[in-house]
Amino acid sequence: MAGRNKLSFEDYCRDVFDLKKIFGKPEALKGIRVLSCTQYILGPSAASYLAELGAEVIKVELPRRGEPMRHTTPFNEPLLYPLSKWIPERGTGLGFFGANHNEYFVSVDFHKPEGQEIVRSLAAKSDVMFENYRAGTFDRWGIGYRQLGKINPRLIYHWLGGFGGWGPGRKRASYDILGQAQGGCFSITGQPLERGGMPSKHTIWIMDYWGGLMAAFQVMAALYWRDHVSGEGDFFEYSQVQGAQRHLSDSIALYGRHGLVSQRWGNWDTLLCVHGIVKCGKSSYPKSDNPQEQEEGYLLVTAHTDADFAKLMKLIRRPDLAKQYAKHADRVKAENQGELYGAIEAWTRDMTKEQAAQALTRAGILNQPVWNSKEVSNHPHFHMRDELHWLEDPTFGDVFSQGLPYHLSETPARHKWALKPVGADNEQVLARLCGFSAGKLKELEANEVI
Amino acid sequence: MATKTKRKPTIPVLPWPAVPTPTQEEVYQGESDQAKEYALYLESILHQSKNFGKPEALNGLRVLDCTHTMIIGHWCSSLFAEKGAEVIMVEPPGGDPLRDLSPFGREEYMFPAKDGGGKVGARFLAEARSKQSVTLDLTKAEGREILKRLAVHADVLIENGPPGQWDAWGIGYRQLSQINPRLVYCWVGQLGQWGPLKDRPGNLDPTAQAASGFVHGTGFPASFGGTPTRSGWWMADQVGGTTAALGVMAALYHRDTVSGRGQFVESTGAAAVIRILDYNWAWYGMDGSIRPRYGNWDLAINIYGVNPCVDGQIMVGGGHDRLWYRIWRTVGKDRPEVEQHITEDPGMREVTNRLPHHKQVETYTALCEWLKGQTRSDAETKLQAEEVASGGVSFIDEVCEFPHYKYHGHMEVVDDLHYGPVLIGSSAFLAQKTPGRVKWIGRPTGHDTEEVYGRLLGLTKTDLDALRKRGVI
Amino acid sequence: MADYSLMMACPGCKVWNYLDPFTFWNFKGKVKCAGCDAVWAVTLEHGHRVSGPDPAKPPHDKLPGYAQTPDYKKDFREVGKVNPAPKARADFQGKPIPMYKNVRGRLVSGGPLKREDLVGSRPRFIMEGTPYAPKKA
Repeated sequence: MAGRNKLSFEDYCRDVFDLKKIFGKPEALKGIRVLSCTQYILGPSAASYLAELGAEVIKVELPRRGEPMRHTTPFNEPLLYPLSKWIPERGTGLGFFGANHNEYFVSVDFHKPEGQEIVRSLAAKSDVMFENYRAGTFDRWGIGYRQLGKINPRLIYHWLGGFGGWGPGRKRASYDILGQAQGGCFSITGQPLERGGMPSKHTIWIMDYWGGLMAAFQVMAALYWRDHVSGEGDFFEYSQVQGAQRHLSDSIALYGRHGLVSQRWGNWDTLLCVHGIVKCGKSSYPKSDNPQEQEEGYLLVTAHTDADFAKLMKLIRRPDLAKQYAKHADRVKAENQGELYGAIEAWTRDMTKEQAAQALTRAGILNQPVWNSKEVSNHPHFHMRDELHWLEDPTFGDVFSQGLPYHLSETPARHKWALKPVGADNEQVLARLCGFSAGKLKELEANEVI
Repeated sequence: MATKTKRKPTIPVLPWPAVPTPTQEEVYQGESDQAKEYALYLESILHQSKNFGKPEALNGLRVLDCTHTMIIGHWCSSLFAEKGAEVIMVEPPGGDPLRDLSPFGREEYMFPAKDGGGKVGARFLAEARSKQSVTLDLTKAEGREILKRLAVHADVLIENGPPGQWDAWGIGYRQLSQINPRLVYCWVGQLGQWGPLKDRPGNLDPTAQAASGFVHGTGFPASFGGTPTRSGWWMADQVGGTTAALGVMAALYHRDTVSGRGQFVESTGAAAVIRILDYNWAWYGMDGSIRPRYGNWDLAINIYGVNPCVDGQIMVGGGHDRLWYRIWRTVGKDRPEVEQHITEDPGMREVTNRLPHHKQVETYTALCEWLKGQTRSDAETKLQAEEVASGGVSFIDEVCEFPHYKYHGHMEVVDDLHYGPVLIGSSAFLAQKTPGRVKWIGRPTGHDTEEVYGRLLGLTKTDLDALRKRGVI
Repeated sequence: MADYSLMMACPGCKVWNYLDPFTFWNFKGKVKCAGCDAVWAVTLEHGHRVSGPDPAKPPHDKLPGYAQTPDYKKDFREVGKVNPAPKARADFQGKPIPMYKNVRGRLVSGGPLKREDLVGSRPRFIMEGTPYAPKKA
């Protein structure tokens, strides 16, 4: 410990967050068992964040084909095989990839009474249950919180969905982009109408993945409350569209007080200027055969303080603008921002984003190139920090994966495997937790209960 | 050079809600007792009107939010505040610079505090909920001594200083953990406090959005005249703030269950966005594919996209055959020739054959042929009648007046002692026993300096006057 | 035959040219038919065809997003005829691409398997670390 204090800060961080030491450190959620009766991304991701922290997460899917997200993959092209031992000629799509790390995969048909009995038995021994089927479905099947909470008062039961189980929208089906659209997110993302733009969706299924983060946090807080205060579980409901309003709280405040309806502002910023993304006219890889690399580059330029703005205008040789917009209050006005970004783009017209970045950095101006997924994938910064990593997955082989979204010096999160085929752990989990004999397991499989 | 000042239009602002929230009778009209039993049960256990009578999950924890200029740290501490932790914002004297930002610099859109507490912008105010405010100048040695004393009493400390700054000042994790081994110390930022791309002072969202691949993948493809597009809000900060909260919560759990010790936590916007960027990484690893922008359509599902209509844009979704044919059947009620065109195309018969880009062009062009004559409301109603997921792109005013959101409690007016009534997005944490809640909107800069320093450090008014004179607080 | 706003039937060769809703929702200019290269002037406002297709001189301003003959038998996807499709790699297949080695040449189970290739739920070739060699039927 004393030795650590002598290291430079950079070396100290590289030491305490050393990815090679991760598996030698304890897990924050050791001993916690989570049942994930979830599909798509909202529910599954919540469970996966806990699996990364060391919880034993059991994913429960319908037998043979598993849950619908396994059948989603970009352009239909990449798949990981086998889908299940029953259907090896088909694979799991990469839509499933980001939300199921470290989990154990059990197939149970909970439409059948014997299946519901299995879920009941598993829930009796679990600390947490996530569920994102239509509100009331599990209650009808006798495996909702009202029933399970009686069997296991320490159970933390988290329902997730689009609109919630009560109120005018309670019956509406929801997908992530419906949440983005109806929640208001689209209305403020994209190029403004005046510049020929349309509302734009986010690359990510953000309402789902981020909603899962919120649910995971809430469950962690519930575990804390249970184990250090009350000894009791709790029931939670999270709706995607509410998440959107939580994101947009500042726009809501502006509407409530001033009647303002926030609009799209493209790649610029409404609060700060200069702080926006500009086009650099040249492609960084003009000879590439991948069309993504053939495109021109883009770059974020951050120069909103008076000093930085002066430096930027000097660099792009516009002393007239330096004088005219010397004050931030003038630069940030809606009617003036276009002129400034136009001037910067005139300067970057014949540059690649790397050339522009180099010139800006040399002049002491903050910038960040807009990287495509290959450029990000190959950057040592993310690999060193375990934020992207190659995983030797025991089932599927060498796969490249997102890493962990935060660092903990003593109980770091970690990835053990990426995912497994449907029902891969049936025998192991059901024998261990439900005491099923070999004969019983065979019978359940034959009847497609598992 | 002064521009001619145009007279700004006066917008009559109706108090929210402009349209009354539906009553329970209206919402469940016509449903049998059995059909509505579960929903009413949920209302009885979850309705926010009961929140303040219920316990708080994180009551007793104390969080020092020493971040400024970004939202990531404030977002993180908001989640703790909503769940009942005591959160103290430690701001530079003069306040967090974020307080001064307002859309396009418009001062008239700021929120003044009563009793001359100063104006504050909406972005800061939205994440000032239920938190106290003290001031402290950490650039002064005396200020850092006070921080060390505060750290003794904290469970969590969040900071976003330039990499290594706090460590050089003697108040980094290495030093504070010696003073308070139970402290959970969290650094937040865009790209990191270590590594080749570690943050430079002044890096802000959307730096993390650009560096993670998010911006490149958002927006319309070049062949549609589109460009990489950033999120309309500081989304990497919000996602990164949530992952930071998750990491801190894990550390607290481990501390009180096992070790009795805190730990060093770090979370960045870039790492958080990378974590949730769907399948970019696995796809690249398999065959070198670089995820393209695909506008408002989807690389994996057709129909699943947002398209223009008479009064804006509308989302329609349904990839499987059952929903595909229902969508065209809905279209066919108004435009039978369009339904016929699509359903007769042999190239559209197989689900997988509908996915290639050019067939998506055909699909959505045909759908828009119908949508050009439908408002969002028309299209939604007709599609939902066929149980197809659909919904219009809503603007903030529509969102705030949406009957479901009002009834389900997504927004609330908090009548704040300092800032008056402010409409905000409520806590998204609905629970039977320990729901999240917002107690107040925010505090003027340094409002709680005397109270907090008196209570925690035993500093008297004389002490504080002297500190103020020396510019330490 | 009928001709709709965004689904433009070429007056010359009758090929359906699909004018995608992002490029063409509000558009005033010239489009080149993918079927016969004839150039037509059109105006669309909010997705409605306000004028055209009227004969016009090259060069065109935009290409359609896709095109098909009225009997669906022939379609047009080539660069220069229609707007290029966004691609993740140099080629696009739109259906599962079997691969048993990944971008850095290591083994990955990215292609269809048979029951005899599995041990439980796991591909044997991954467990054994030898490249995949399907048994001959």
